[in-house]
Amino acid sequence: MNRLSFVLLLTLGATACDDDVPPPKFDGGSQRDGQVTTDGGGDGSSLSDAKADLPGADGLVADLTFGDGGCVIGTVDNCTDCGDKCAPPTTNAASAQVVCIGSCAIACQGEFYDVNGKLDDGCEVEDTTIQASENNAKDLGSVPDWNAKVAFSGTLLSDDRTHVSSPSPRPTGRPDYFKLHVIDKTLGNTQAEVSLSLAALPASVEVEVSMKYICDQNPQSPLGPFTQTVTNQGTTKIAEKIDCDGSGNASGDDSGTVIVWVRKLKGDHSAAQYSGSINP
Amino acid sequence: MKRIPYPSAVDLANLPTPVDTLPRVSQAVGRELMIKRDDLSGVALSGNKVRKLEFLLADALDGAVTGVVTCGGEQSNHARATAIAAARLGLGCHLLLRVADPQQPPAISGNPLLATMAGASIEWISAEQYQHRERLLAEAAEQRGYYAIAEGGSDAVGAWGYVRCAEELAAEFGDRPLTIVTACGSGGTVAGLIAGCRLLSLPYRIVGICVCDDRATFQQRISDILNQMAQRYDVDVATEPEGIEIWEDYVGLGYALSRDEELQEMLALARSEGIVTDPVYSGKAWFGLLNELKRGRSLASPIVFLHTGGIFGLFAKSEQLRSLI
Repeated sequence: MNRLSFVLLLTLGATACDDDVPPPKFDGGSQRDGQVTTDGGGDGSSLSDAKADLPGADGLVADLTFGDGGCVIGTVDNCTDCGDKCAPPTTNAASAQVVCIGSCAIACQGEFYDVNGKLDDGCEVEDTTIQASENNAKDLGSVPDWNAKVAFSGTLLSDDRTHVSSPSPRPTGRPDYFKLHVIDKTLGNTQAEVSLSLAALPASVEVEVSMKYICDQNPQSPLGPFTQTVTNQGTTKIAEKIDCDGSGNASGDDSGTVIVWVRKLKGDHSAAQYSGSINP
Repeated sequence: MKRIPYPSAVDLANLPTPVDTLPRVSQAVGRELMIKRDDLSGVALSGNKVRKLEFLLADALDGAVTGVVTCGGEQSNHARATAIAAARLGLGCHLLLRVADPQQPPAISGNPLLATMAGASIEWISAEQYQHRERLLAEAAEQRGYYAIAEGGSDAVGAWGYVRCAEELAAEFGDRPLTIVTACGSGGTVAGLIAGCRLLSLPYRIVGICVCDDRATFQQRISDILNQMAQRYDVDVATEPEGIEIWEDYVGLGYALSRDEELQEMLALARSEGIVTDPVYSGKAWFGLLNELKRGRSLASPIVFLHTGGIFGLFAKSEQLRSLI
């Protein structure tokens, strides 16, 4: 056993009885030629000399930090360095879990989104939309083809976080689906028209709107999809002439269902509000 | 004996390490085999790396740094030895360790466990990042105000540790012909032995058995270290790559991957002589030496196998070893 270890043990044993011992100084010592030495007074020949030079005279040595902390960096407890612990969000804590990916970050739970990009409020918005597929499309009803347009609206959530579970596309969130049944009363020209506009959003937001038409008389061969994109405060429109029997004759029955879906292509941290209409 | 102009060093290792005879193995192979026990240079702070660290950490202390940073594989013996040596000197230690997937890091065991116990911080890096290890080391050192130690401690400073080992062998064997065989994983040990023999005019044949990469890589690396030593310390040790003897046929499945026949020879050595080797370096080199003797390779006797330590790497192979026991 070297001398340093020996005097450490003695000091620990004596600590409880020596509350009057002044705080020690310790400079880490130095070692040359096989000798471990401590500096700062005394020749080390007595216990009191040793105590004055050593850490921990007022407490346990384990209370002190030596070296680099003895840890694996890259975990939530030691993210960028030993002791660099990632703090959980102060609000909405259940919506996110803390992760370390080079720096402290959060991963969103399921359909919770971090739309403002701030760590301390977690993934603050939950996407409760259930119209995320054609089968679950929101039903806008049934209208004759000469009817006025039918409105729809929604919000697309997105973030650049990892999501703990990923039931739908990431990181651009889930799409919204809508459907409208059109009855061709006039047996004349039918034109399905979809328009979409976005509220004010960062320029990076890009939304895609798509439409397809499923003819009642030929549901196996839908027309489309027809797709347009829109950014920031922009508007877009898709207008397609419908000819279900493919005859080119406008007199056929073009009754069918318009399926419209809206999804975010780019958006980072954002909640993109959109409104649109289907005009058969 | 000539006086060697050693640079400054700190005292970390229990030296000189013993040279043991291998009576039962020698009888079995019909050659006089001995083993230089650098695995006994300490306990947690053991193996060939300690000799290099005596010089490297003295160089670090000369630069008045507060810690050191180095790199290696996940179970790096050098990284563990550096961490413990740093703690012995009151220095900080940061380690960059290579793993398959830093996002899915292994559980801490073996060498990394000992390193963190000694206060080192560990940063897992990928194999791709590891290709840029010199830059990463330099960046980490600059960021922390630390001294950067090359992979394996194998550079012109660390190699002095094996100049001292050559001097120990000279004290033991004098200037009679001798073959020294050792594992070669980063080149510093072989470089130091060659330098020592040159400085002491010893007629020893030094053989490195590579456990990764190939002959040409190590010949160049060792030649570079020797040339840097010659330049930095003004000593006559510069050597051309072609003059360095490296056997390259025993890398086997690759670095830190073991074939059953290698482990079988490790078991045989443990059972016949009570000497335990590690599977990554000495176990692999030992297998190579025995195989070459079996093939009739001509080597001057006695043959001294240098055991470079690394026992803690053994536990990562416990499952494979258990199947052979």
